[in-house]
Amino acid sequence: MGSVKSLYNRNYIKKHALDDFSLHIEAGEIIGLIGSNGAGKTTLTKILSGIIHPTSGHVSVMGFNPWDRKNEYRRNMSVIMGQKAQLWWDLPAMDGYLLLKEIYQIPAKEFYTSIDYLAEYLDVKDQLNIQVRRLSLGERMKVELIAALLHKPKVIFLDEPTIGLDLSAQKAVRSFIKEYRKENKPTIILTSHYMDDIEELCPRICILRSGRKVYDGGLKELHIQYADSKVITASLATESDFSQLINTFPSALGEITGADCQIKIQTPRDKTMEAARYLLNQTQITDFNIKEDEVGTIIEKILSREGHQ
Amino acid sequence: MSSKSNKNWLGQVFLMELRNLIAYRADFWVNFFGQTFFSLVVAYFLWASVFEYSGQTTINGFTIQKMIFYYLMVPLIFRIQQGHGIGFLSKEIYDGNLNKFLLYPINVYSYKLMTYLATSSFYLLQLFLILLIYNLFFYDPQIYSFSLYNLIRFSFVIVLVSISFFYLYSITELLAFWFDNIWSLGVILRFTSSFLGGALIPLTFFPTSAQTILQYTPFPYLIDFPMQTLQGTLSTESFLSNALIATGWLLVFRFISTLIWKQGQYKYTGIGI
Repeated sequence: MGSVKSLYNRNYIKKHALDDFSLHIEAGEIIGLIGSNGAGKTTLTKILSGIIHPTSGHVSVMGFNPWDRKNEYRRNMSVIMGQKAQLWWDLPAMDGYLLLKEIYQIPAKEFYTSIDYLAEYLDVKDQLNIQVRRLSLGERMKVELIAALLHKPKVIFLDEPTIGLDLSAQKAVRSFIKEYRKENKPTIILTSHYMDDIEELCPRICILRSGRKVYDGGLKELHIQYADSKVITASLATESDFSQLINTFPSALGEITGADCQIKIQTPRDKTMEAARYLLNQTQITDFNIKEDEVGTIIEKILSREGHQ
Repeated sequence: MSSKSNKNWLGQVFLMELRNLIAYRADFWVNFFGQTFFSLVVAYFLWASVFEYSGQTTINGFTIQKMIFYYLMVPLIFRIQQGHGIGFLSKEIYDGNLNKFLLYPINVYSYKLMTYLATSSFYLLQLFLILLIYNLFFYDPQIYSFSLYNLIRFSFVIVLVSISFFYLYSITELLAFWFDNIWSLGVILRFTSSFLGGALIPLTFFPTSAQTILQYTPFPYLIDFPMQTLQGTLSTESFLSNALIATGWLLVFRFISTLIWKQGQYKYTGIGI
C-alpha cells in the first residue's frame, strides 16, 4: 500500500548526513573514521573524494576542491571500496591494470615494476591473468588493492578494506597497508567496523555519531579520556579458589565473571591495583593479566552516550 | 606520470569491452542467431499472409522478397544502435557503480560512449556476416543494390546514428538522478524509436501526413535512414541532407544530455559504498 501511495504523494525526510563537522589531516597521516552505520563516515569519504557535493561548507584536499574533479586531483588520489569493485568482472585483473595504465598515464617501466612489487607482496602473481569473477574474495580484494595503488596516489580512501575477508586475508591486507604506507607515505583515511584494522593501522581516530564528530585524537588518549575501567583476567589453580572468589569478591572493586577457573574482572581504573592485590592475596593463580578496556568497548560506550559532544 | 592529455585509454576501453562481449561466446552467438532467425520467421509468416490476402505482389514498393530483406536487416540495425541496451547509466546511478567513473581522471561520457560503440561495432560485424551469407545465397539486385561505396556510407551512417541514440538514450537514463525508477521510460523510448523509426513497420506504410510530420522528428534518421543507405535507394543529395539533419539531432541530444548530466550530479548520492 505504501508503494502505491508513493506514486502520488511521496514524503521526503531531510537529514543532515554531516553537520557542524571539521577535520584537518596532515599529509602522510593515517586516520581511522569510526561510527555506527549511518553516522556519516561514508558520506565524508564521498565528499572528500569528490563523488558527492556538500550542500554547504568548505573542503580542501591537497589544495583542491574535490568537487571540481580536476584531473590533477583525481590522478593523485584513490578510493578503495571493500564492497565495490573497479576491475571488470569478466576479464582478468591484468586487463583492468592495462586500462588504468592508460587512464593514469603510467610509464610502461614504472607500471610493470609496480605490478611486480605489489603482486609479489600480496601473493597474487598467479591470479593476475584469471578472470576476476573466478577469484576468491580475499584474492579479489588484493587485486583491487593493486588496481587502486598502481598510480601511486598521495591520498588514499580505504572504505572497509577487510570486509567479508577471513582472518588470514584480513591480516595480510593489514600488513600490506602498513608496509605500503611505510614505503610510500601516502595520507590514508580508513573507514572500518573492524577494530583490529583501526588498532593496528591508525594512531589517530575520528569518531562520528549522527553526522557529528564526537572524538578526534589518538588511540592512547582515547583510553585515558574515556576508559574508566580496566580488565583483569586470571586463571585460578583450583575449582574451590574459583568458587570462593566468585562468591566473595567485593563489588566495590569491580564486576567479576568467569567459568572453568578463568575469571574476568572489570574494575574501575582507580581500583585496579587494589583489585589485583585482593586477587593475589586471596587465591592461588597460574596466570594473570591486566589490560586496558578494549577499544571497541570504549567506542561503543562513546557512541551510546546520548547528546555527548 | 605524464601530465599531457592522452587518449590511448579510449582505445583500451574499446578493446576491453570487445573482450568482455566475447567472454560468454556461446551465449552471445546463440542469442544472435536465435533472435535473427525467429524475427525473420515471424516476419515471413506475417507478411506472406498479408501479401496473399491482398492479392498483390507489391505493397507500398515492397515485394515479399524485399520485405524479408527489410526484416532481416532492420532488427540488426536496431541492435547496433541500441548498444548496451537498457540501464547502461541508470543502473550505475542506482547501485553507486558510477562512483568509480567519477574518480578516474577522464571524461565519464567518453568512457561510456566507447563501451557503447564497442558493443555497436560488434553488432555491426554480425550484420556484415549476415549480409555476406545473404549475398552468397540470395543476392538479387532488385532487392537491394550492393556496392562497397554503399557499405562505407552505411558504416558511416550507422556510427553517426549510434552516437546519436547514445545521447538520446542517456537523456532518459540520467533522469535516474531524480527518479527512483526510470526503467519504463527506457522501454517507452525503445518502443517509440523502433515504431516511429520504421523497425516494426516500414515508414512507407504510414499515412503520408504522418510521414511528413515524422521528418521533423529524429526517429526516421535512426533506423529508416541507415536502412535506405544500405539498400542504396538514396541519391547523393538526399544522403547528404539526411546526414546533416542526423548530425544536427546528435548535437541537440548531446547538448541536452550534457546539461542534465551537469545538474544531475548534484543529486547523486553515490549510494552503495
